[in-house]
Amino acid sequence: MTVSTSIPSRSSFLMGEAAQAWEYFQETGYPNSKNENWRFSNPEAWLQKDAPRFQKNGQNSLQEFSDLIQPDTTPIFIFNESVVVPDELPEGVKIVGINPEIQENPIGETIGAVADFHISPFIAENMALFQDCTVINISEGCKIENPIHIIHLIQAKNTQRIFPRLFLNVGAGSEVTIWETELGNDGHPHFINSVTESIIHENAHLKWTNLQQRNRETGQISSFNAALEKNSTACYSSFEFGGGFIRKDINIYLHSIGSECELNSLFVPTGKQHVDISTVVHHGGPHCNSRQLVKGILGDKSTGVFRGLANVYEKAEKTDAQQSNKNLLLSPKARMNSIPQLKIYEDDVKCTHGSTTGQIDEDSLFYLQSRGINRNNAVNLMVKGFANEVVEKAVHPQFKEIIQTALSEKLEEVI
Amino acid sequence: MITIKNLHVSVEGKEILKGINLKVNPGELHVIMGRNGTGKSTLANVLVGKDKYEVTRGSITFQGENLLEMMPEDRACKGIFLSFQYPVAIPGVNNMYFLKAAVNATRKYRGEEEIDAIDFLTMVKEKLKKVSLDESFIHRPVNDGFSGGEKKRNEILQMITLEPKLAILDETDSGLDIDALQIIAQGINDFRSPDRAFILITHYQRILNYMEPDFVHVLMNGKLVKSGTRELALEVEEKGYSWIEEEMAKAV
Repeated sequence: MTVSTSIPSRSSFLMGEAAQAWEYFQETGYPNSKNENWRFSNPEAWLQKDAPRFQKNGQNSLQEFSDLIQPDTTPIFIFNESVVVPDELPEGVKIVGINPEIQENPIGETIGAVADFHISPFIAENMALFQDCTVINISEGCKIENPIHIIHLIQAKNTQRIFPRLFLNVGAGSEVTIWETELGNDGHPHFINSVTESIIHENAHLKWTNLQQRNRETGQISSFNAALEKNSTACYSSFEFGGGFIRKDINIYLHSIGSECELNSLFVPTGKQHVDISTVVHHGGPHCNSRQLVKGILGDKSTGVFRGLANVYEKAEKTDAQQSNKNLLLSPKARMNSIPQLKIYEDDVKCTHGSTTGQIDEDSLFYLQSRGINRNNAVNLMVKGFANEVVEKAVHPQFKEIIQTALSEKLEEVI
Repeated sequence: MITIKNLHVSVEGKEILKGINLKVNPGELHVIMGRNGTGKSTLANVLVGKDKYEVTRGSITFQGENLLEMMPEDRACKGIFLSFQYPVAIPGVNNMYFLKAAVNATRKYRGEEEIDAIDFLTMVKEKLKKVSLDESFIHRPVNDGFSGGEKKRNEILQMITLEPKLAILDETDSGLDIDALQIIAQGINDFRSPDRAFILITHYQRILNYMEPDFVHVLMNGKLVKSGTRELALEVEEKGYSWIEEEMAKAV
């Protein structure tokens, strides 16, 4: 069963893929808990099937959001699905909002080339239904000094179904740092199906840190899809604090030689929040490294899922794939499901994975108490210590501080 | 400073301490010796309020107050410190951050102002020298990846930074080579003062070569069965514990 709607008007060069994706989505429909990949995360209650598909409602004023702008960054505002292209951009950075009026692809890459809609009904649905696509292009050989701060806001007058789409192309030999802040404080329960894809060309380096703070009524299903070319690197770190139902898929394609990717994630659900981090790292090429570090801190009656897969193909020799998932349960009613997996079809590789879930160590708490620190502060110190390993991975001291503050506020709910 | 009267303690229903009596005055250093499993660590843990130890009879008074009613953190703030036999490692928690939180917790408890970061660093650098540790040490996670000797020195660093009134040292000398032992003994000696007391729990007489105890007690079968001076420790070192057992048997 799917929501009856149709493909919105689109740039002509995108219509072909949209039609195929729509057809595929009509066949598969939404997944439910019978589907292995969605066994612990049933999205059904969060899809807002009766809600309208979001319609653009004119230009938003940036004025009221100026306090979100951080010094020494290039802020890029995206309202729902539409980017506001800034008047001035650093040299080497180009931003285009592909709306239905644009009839030619502004970059040499195909939208959907990395985010393959066949791997997920939600990617297919997004491919069929997004109205605008934000394209960020970094020219070849550019080192972009200041971080690009993508501020993604959900602004609607009532419940909506929203399909944000973003494409980042990092030209050969370039370096760029992205901060992404996902906010949504209009108080309405939305369904957000968001797809981000990126190509990191030869010798290029991408660092991306994402802070997700959607409202608690929101169901967000999003994916970060990245293809790494020869000798390129990517470090993607996500901090999931908001939302009611969060499913994040991270799909990485290491099909060339000598590339490296690092994935870090910290999720801190409280109340009845649900967070699912699902990663797939495709080791298709030789001499590639991947590092995954996913940590969960779960309070109240929250639930969490980690599903991680390192898929090492034949001839991907000298692959070094590491995966680690650690979870801390702060309440007896919180639940965590962890499914770390390795698939290896090549002999000459080094792969490790591990997963632990537990409570705060009482002996450590007592140690802190015996030095005069009261129990609450001791718990706080230990939980932050646990989180710190991931927080340290955030791209920039400034953003790190913002994340630390957000984490402290979040922990106040449960400690 | 501290008075322990007829203290009985059970762990998981089994009686470990069977009537301990001990009075420690300011300025004194008491040594408690005994074989493995006689209850030495139990006594140390009861004093700092570890919860799996159940006091079934007796009392502990610290500076006129009932110690047994206090939370572990309050005991620490009032000036009791235990150097643990096996300090736990806490990955992720920075040693300096932890130590500063501990110092400030005590200050807050006493109604004093919190120490600022620069003053704190200056103070800690000074203390680090006393236990022969370099500065990088305090930027590491608490006890994580520390060698046995480093852990023990970290305990002493905490002690001389937190400046307790009563320090209990639970086998702080165990597993140390002679150099580390001397450093630790020196750290303790420098820290002695007329208003501060020590209870030193040990297996060996060895550390007493470097310090001046006021009293030595032998703990056996849950009781302090014999008390004396340094000579008692030397006698134990030479003859073991059996002669005390025999003496006790005769007395009965």
